[in-house]
Amino acid sequence: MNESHRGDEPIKPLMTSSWYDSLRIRTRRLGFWLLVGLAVLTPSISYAYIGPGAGFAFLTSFLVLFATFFVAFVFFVTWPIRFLIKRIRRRGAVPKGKVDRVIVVGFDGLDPEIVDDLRAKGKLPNINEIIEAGSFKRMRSTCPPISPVAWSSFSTGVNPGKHNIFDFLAPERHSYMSKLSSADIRPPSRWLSLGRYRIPLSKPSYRSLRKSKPFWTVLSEHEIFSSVIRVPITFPPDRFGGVLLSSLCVPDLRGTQGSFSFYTTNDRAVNDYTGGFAYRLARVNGGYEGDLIGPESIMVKDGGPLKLRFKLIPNDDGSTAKLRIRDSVWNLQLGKHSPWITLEFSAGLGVKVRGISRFILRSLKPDVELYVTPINIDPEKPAMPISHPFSYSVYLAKLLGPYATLGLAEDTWALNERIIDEDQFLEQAYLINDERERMFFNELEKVRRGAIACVFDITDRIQHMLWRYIDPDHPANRDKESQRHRDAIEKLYIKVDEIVGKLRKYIDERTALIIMSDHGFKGFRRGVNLNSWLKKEGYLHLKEGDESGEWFEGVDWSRTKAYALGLGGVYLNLKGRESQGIVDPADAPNLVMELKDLLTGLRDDETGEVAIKNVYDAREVYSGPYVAEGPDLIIGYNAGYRASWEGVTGRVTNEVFTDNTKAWSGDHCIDPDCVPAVLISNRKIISQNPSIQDIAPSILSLLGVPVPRYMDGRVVIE
Amino acid sequence: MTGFFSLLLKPFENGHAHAGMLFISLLTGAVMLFLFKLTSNQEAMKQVKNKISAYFLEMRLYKDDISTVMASQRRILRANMQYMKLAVIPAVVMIVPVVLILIQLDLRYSHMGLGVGSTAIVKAHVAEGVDLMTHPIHLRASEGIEKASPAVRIPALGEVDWKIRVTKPGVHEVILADGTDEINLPIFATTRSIPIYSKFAKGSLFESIFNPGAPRLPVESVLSSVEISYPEMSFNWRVIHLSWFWSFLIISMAFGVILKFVFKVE
Repeated sequence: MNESHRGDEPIKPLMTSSWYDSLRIRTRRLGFWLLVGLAVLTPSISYAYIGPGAGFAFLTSFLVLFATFFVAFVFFVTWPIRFLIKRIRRRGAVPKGKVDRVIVVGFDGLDPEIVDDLRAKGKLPNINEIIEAGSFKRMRSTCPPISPVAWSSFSTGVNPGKHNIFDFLAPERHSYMSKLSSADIRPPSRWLSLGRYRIPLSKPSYRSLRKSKPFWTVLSEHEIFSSVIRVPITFPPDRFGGVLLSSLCVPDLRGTQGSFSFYTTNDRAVNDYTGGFAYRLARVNGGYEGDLIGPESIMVKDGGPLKLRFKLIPNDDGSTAKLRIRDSVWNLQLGKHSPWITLEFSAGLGVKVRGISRFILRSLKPDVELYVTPINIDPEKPAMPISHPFSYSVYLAKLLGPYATLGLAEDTWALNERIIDEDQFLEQAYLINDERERMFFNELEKVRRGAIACVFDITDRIQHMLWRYIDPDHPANRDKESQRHRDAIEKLYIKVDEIVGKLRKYIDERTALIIMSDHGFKGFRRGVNLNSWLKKEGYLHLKEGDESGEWFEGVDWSRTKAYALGLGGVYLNLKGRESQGIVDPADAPNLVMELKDLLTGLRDDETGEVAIKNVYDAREVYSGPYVAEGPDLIIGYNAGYRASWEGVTGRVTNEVFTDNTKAWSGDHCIDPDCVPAVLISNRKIISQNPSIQDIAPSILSLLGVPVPRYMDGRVVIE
Repeated sequence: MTGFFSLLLKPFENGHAHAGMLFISLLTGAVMLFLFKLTSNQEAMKQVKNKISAYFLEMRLYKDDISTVMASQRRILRANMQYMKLAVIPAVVMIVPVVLILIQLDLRYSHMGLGVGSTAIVKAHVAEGVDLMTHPIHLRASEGIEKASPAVRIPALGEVDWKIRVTKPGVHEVILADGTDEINLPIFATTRSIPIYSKFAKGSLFESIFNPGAPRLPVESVLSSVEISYPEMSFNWRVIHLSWFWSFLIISMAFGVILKFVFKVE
């Protein structure tokens, strides 16, 4: 008899029919084999300990096992309670939708004309099959057809007068400077001073300036889950019942909208660049040294920017170099992107700020040149909230590896400034696109009910930067190679078709698929400086000279009636609104009419073409509580034209019309009639003229949620 | 190996067992972590650990979807198996040095020396077939020890026992006569943290590994082994009393956790 067995109880036979005993036998057997394993490996049970390291590994494994079962247990035990809470919150049954899941795939800037053309050539078989089984329509974008405006209308179902996003930039009425239209970021307001250090006692403030309610919040109120990946104007992230990864307007670690760094041994190349900074590489023993520039030091008083020293050591092969940062070393290949490299800046008092960058070794001879992408916020340890919940960006990084987090992740300025070439730009854009694809398809696997919305930016970026290749007479082709990437845009659309092809296996009868863009695309050959035109026509005056600096430096506001800022807006210098306003609000309607008449049909004398097709009075095209926050007039440029680079940043020059010679050679910030968007669905589109603000109501309707009355859009998908 | 450890722990011999334990735990933590880093696939381990963290987050993010949560649990178990698989090779590599360290610590920290006036039992086990009642087996004590009882012969256990008492501190001897040989065995009446041999046997590979440095019984001797019952030692860490093994395990793991970040080990 077993000594540990109480004598008055009968011993149970080993073989019984109950599942409990069967489990016990199996556990015993498993225990036996575990003991045998230990006995074989170790002469004594106390020697089973294998030291830290492997000990951790096994200990961690057992902890993981324990945690898994514990979480599973908690999950199943709490399931009925959570179900009940959801029912109570929802005040009723699950909405009965026409479908279980709506998948929205946004391709920023996908152009319907190009889609038609390539479909006709049989190059988009997957998109074609979806269209043949469902529908395809040209969709009206917003006025102006700019991504932040259009995607805000997409998500909220309202016009810009209700969501408050009118452009990338908005004017500061008191200073005539510009500010980001969609987010307001402020540092902590309270500090504790400790000698040369200061410790924040409050959190920084991140405020979204986009108003109204996106459809995912409405769905969440009905307990329907949404997954939102990189839909523009989602920074700071909304709080709702779902997951969201922010996009457009997420800053880089320096707080800018994306600043590349260029390191060189060539003194003449250390110039001022738009969208980036150049630094000299110092020659040191066996290589070159430089400092990566991070965010401003907030923990150290007057500490300047945080810096991280790196060393570049060319290898003997002449085509590679070692990049050393602290104790880590990477091998860089000439002309190719490195993997994401984690950069850890010490902010003081043990605080670290982490970012990620890719590097390109541009040249080793005659000068050493190194390009560094803008330092993206590290999604695994984000310095600010870039997702909802906060852990979502961490989850994606741990599951799929590091990824670009910057709002405008593809470095268009580096190509504009010829710091990288087209090949490198394309490589970068496709690397980012691969990351996005992995995120999107992961969501398709995880979310079986609710809405999934993912926006791919690659279509916008490549068309912006390589449009000149399909427009042989484009001014940007002067002095540049113009043949090599003639098929880049076609390849891009074929890539889109491949994504759609991969997506098709996730579509069934209970899934609605919406493939859409926010606007189309056209060439950008000539720039129009409206500030120069306003000066020429006597609506804008300078204090002295013929030209101003950026952001209206030198403008005489006491004599200025109107000014232009951003990509499509003209603002009156209104008394009581602008700090130095001179236009009486009573005279404003007449002035608006006057400018509208003069600008509509404005001709470019050099080409003889009409540069401005339409001018829209904001009060006629917008409605809602935020109309007064927007521009007074919206310019509808003709195809081939756009606001000039100088005019966008508030510079007054002598010339109204200029050639656009930058690589950024395609655009869409023109009259919305010229750049309709794409709307494709596997279901029937019931409107002949759908608008981008119809998508949110349609998604709600498909999922059985009543469309809120404040929404301007209609249900257009059956 | 015993000599090497004696040299290593020399500064901690005289009443500094706690310091010796801390020192050896720190050293083991550092060396084993370094070895682990060298012998394991750190990149693969990092990836698997990241995946496991991601799947845990996944269960929280998609908590309302049973099938997603179940799938996440499956993935965690699968990733955990991968993680254990990755830890097997370094574990196998490390098992040899760790076992050697444990043996040395066992020699030094599992028993205390005898105090003056205290008694201990000397148990002599005889080989099978030897008539315990007639075979002449005797024990003599050297200076510093006295016999506290006559021999007790227990044929059922094949064992002869004596009680001895310590009269002076130091390392003394008992001499066992088995009829043909006289075997000198050390008796430790000391507070120093030195190897304390509590068991003696005939020479074998097993004994060389697991009882290194202990005097061997002659091959032809009728005695198969001799045991001396030293009091067990435990470490008083103010809040808890722990055996040397648990002290070493916990402290070396704690140092490991700290050094893990220094050495950047997954």
